[in-house]
Amino acid sequence: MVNIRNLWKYDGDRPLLRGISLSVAPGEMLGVIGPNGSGKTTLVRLLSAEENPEAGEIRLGGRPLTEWSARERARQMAVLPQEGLPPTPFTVEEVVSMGRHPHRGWWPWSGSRDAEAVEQVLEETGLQSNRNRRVDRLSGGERQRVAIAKAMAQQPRLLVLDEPTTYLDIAYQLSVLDGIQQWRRREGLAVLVILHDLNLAAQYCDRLLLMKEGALFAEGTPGQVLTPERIWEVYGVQPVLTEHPVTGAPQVLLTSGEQAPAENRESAVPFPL
Amino acid sequence: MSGRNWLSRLTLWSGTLTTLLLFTMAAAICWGSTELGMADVGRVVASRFTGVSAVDPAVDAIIWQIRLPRVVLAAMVGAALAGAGVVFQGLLRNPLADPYILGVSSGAALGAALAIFTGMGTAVLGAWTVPAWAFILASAALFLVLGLAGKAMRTETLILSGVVVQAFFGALLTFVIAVASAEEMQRIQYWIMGSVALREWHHATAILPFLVLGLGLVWLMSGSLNLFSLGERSAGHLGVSVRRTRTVLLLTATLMTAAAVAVSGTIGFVGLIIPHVMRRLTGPDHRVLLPVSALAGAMFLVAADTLARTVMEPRELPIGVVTALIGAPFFAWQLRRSLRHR
Repeated sequence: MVNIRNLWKYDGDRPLLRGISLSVAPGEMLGVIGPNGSGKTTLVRLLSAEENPEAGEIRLGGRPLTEWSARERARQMAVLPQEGLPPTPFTVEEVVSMGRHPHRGWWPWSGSRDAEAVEQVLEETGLQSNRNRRVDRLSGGERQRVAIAKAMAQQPRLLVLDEPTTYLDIAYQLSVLDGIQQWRRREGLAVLVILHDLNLAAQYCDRLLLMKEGALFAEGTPGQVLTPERIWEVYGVQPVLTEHPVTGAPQVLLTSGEQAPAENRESAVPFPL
Repeated sequence: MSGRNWLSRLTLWSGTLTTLLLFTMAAAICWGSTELGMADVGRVVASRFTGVSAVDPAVDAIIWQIRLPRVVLAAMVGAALAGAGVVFQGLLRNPLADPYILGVSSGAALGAALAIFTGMGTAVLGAWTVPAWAFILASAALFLVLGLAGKAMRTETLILSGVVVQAFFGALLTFVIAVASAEEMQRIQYWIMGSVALREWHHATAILPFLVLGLGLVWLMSGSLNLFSLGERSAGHLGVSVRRTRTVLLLTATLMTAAAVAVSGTIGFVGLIIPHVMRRLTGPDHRVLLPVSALAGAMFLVAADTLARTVMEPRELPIGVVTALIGAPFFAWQLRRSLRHR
């Protein structure tokens, strides 16, 4: 669905991305992990055509991204930025139907036939009872659910998510990722998701891509990528790796500095910072 | 308030407001030093359209030559300022944004003052000298603001750039007034406080095309304007060509503002208060909010002008004094309310 080849991006002469290549197939969920400042969000900005790379190419559905018009692109790809939905006075239903925008005609009155698509999404996401509530009166978790519903109404073939679970409690984290998982299975959706939580990434993603300082550090299944050595090299933290007792996915346990064995106390990010 | 019935909301509100606007305009025409009846107004307007003249020539002159053009002009200026306010507030996602904060009005006012003071270009432009200069400098103010705000044009930098440009143009305007002679000073004073006194039909026809085309174009883009409320990034992700849409909308709103300032001077608070109130009444959907605000702005300015010319008869107040005296406390009250609800 999307192919990225040898992508370079600079901020002045400081490289933000150094020759990233990746691809996401239809129905696949690719997780991008890495420490703060490793270039994950830059990758999303290039992928959503908000910024252009200095070198390299992004192909969406086999065609260079720069050749797609904004509307055409929005019919193929939905993006949920890190900041989520702002506190807008529009109602839940109005925001979800904004997802239909790239499918609509140019006139203010066009899009009345989209009502069915919106209705279906509201039903699937369980937002019917909240349809007339204003988005700025919702909690962060509810708002994120509306953002996902808006993306569903967009009917994309590729979904790009930048840390969709960061500000949510554990119940909403699971509900958001489960919702995306079901959607992906149902529609054969390609998903590229940036996650900070390595344990969630290991459970939900088919493949993981570990980034360090703008470059690709490791790529493969969660079991291949998540090793104590790599996590130490990329994050500067000595983890304990175990296996999820139910799913068998690799899980990363962290040990507080005081409790860690003496030889592991040295950390890459010393305190005070 | 489901997405499908925005059309019925629009019909209901614009129907009500159109009726109220026509009634306000008729009442404004009747009210004044010569008392007239609504029937006279109806007869004069009808005789103009049918060609059958069965009206007292003196009544006809007062209504058709003096009061009607003034009321029609006030309505159009109100609609243009409120419409521009809706666009600026929607684009910048800031209920405090309006033509003034962006420096657009001050640019237009400086242009008008320069035209009156120097008379430059009168030979070529004739009656269009003042509006033409207002357009040129309002656009200059806009481009300065956009240039200062930079390529990314973040909301905060845009508003700060507006403040800077407004301060500069305001200083230039004061300078022009300071060096102007007493007679010119009185005329220039108009552009500072705003007035629709002594306006004729050609003033109304000067603003009409900008109002109709401007409001029409913005309304056609109101679906995209709605998406800006999710933030510019999200609007882009939903297929809006963000920079192009924003530039077209800003330019259109600037032209509507300049047309209004050229004929009436800088009248404050219409572009700030009216969209604010109408948003509370009809919701944030710009497909409804834009036409409804234009109608309410028209009604508000007709009423304010009637007050301005009758409250201290035979002296007239500048209309900007009335709108500020009503607008500022009202806005303060709304601000307190919204702060308490947060």
